[in-house]
Amino acid sequence: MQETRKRFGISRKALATGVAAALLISGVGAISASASAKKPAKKPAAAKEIYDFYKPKCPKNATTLKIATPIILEVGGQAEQLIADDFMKACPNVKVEFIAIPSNDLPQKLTTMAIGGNMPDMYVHFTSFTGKALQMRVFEDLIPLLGKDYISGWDPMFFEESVINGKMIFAPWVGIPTAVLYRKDLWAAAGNPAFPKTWDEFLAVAKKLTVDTDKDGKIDQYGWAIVGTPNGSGQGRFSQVVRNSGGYNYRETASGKWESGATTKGYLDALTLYQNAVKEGVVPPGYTTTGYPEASAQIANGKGVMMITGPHSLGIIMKTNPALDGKIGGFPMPTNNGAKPVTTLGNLGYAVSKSGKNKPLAIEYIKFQLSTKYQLAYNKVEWRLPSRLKAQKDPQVTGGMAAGFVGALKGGLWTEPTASFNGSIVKVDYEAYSEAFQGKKTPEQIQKEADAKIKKIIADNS
Amino acid sequence: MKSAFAKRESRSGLVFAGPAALFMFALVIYPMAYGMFISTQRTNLIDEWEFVGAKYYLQLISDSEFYETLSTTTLFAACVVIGNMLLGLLLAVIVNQKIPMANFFKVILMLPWLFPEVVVGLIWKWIFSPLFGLLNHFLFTFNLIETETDVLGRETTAFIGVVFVCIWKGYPIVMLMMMAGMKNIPQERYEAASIDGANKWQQFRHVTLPGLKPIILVAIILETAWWFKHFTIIWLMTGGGPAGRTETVSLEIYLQAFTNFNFGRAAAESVIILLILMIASLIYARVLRDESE
Repeated sequence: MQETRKRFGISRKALATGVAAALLISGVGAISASASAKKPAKKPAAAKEIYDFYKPKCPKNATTLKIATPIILEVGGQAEQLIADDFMKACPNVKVEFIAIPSNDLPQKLTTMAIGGNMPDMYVHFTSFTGKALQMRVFEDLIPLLGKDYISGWDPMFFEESVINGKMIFAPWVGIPTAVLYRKDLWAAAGNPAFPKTWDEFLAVAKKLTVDTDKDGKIDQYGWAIVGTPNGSGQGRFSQVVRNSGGYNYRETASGKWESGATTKGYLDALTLYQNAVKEGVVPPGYTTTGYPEASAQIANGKGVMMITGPHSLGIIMKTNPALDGKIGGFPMPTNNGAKPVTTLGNLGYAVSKSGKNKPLAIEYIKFQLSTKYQLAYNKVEWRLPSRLKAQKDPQVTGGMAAGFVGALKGGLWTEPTASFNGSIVKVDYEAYSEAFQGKKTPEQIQKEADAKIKKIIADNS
Repeated sequence: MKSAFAKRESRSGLVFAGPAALFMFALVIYPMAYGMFISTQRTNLIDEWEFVGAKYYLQLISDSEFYETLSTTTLFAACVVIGNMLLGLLLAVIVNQKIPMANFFKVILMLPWLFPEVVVGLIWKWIFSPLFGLLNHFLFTFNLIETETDVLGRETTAFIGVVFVCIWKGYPIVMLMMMAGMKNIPQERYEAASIDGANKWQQFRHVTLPGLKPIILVAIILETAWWFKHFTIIWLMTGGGPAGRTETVSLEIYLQAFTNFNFGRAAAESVIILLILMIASLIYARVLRDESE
């Protein structure tokens, strides 16, 4: 259930109607899953925010609120901890306890917790976990718990993605639209080349940025800090390239069946790009074991100039090298085959466990955490895009280094498919680009093998 | 008809063996039986249980990728076990000699075994890193390479790199077992061999090795089972890559269970591995027993 979706800006009246429809019928999931492109429209003219600072209703008894989160391990963790500390000050008989889980391990850990009947009260939900959450039915529908007044304060594109089959499975907190992050200073040193519009141009610019800066005969600056690890971080970026080349890995057809997209031209182009990037030497050595943290470090220390990523990388890069303040920017993804730039929203937020014992308190915490004050506090340390309309309009969000990433949302949006076997497709993708790195098989051969694997996975799971 | 004594003895036997049998059932039989049960189910392990019979076994039998993974695992386990046995035995023989500071060397050589696997995997991953690693630094220093060598990024070297690290991690336990075994070989046998004119190699070939045969059998069985289902170091160093060249069955089972969330198929794979290891153990035991007879 995914497709390229135009930004869904609508009038307030239309938004209210849409929300009401979401409350009454179980068809909102179909909206987000629609295969047809939607006409671009404007956001609600005036952002509605009923809680710039929400004063929580505290429980009478001492209570511990357990939250499974990867954020606490990241740069944004200081904002998450600040929110928890302030909440505990507001409700002294509440203890907020974080269960820290690395983001790549989150689906596995949550699954294990669910099987063991040990789910925390709340957990951070990524859209990549949606399929499994639906299959395991581990979440509480938030629409009746939050109320429609509150719901209308969300940016519709964030809200839509959180609602599947009429149920709101998480409360969108922040998004990380994908674009190309680049070092402005190193870009200028290369003569400020024009931003690439196609992947061929991207490769050409990457070659230009790959240089021996200290003239010792060894390349020490590479154009593209590629994330090539065989995991979700690597596959997510590969998938962005595939989408921005007009292809896809798999999708649900109008008749409700899954089909492979590995034979699309876009998939082939993405494999070709990955193979050529290695052949041309524009990616730093060690690309198959370069994960998100390593690639971010390459940008921070000047080993890499461009990186496909979201604004959250600004946080980790700035933490590593604070001198880069103001020296990092972003531009929309290049495309191929006439495709328009598209991005995932990278939407994440807290979900409330169905088996949780503190659901009313969890709702209080969500409203508190989504206050404008804290949306901006999180944005300040990690540049992630707030989900609430009021916070989005703050100059802190719309300006500065993250502006290029916010701009990426002006193109189309696509959402990861929600098949329960999505993890197997992810594996096929990362095996495909790993094979492309090796250079022993042609992209066509790799594409053919990937197609056969995806078809088998679909057949085995139907 | 049983006598009263025989009945009493039988009851006593049950009382003595009962607790151990219960533990055995709870910790060994039940998990194995549960795993076999899951392998016949399409399940989320919470509230979705659908009997699918031998579906996952049939899928695996016709899956060429599974055979590739099995082949990679077999080669990996064989290389590591042979490496561990040869290195462990060699070092045991050396430190068993009357050499100065033998105890010091024994402690040093045991160190890799004392490190947790997670630490070993990460340390060697960093050593092999083409950008920041020590290996490339030394190779550059001695002008052995002109561009960075990405050991774990190339399919030809990644497998060798992982096997090397696993041997580094695994040889000390074999060395320890061999040293213990050598202590049990009577000194008189060496004296007799020496009187008969046997040199050091002949003593090793005809006295030490036969004396170590029971230890070697146990070590090979334990090592094979251990490395055939090894997960941690491979996962940390390569994650099964590049392009699946270091993907062993343990990684495949983990990915099936916790990435694809296909618990039934993961359980079926586990059952197949159990059977393979049981057969391998029987073959080892038979071969070594025949030789000793």
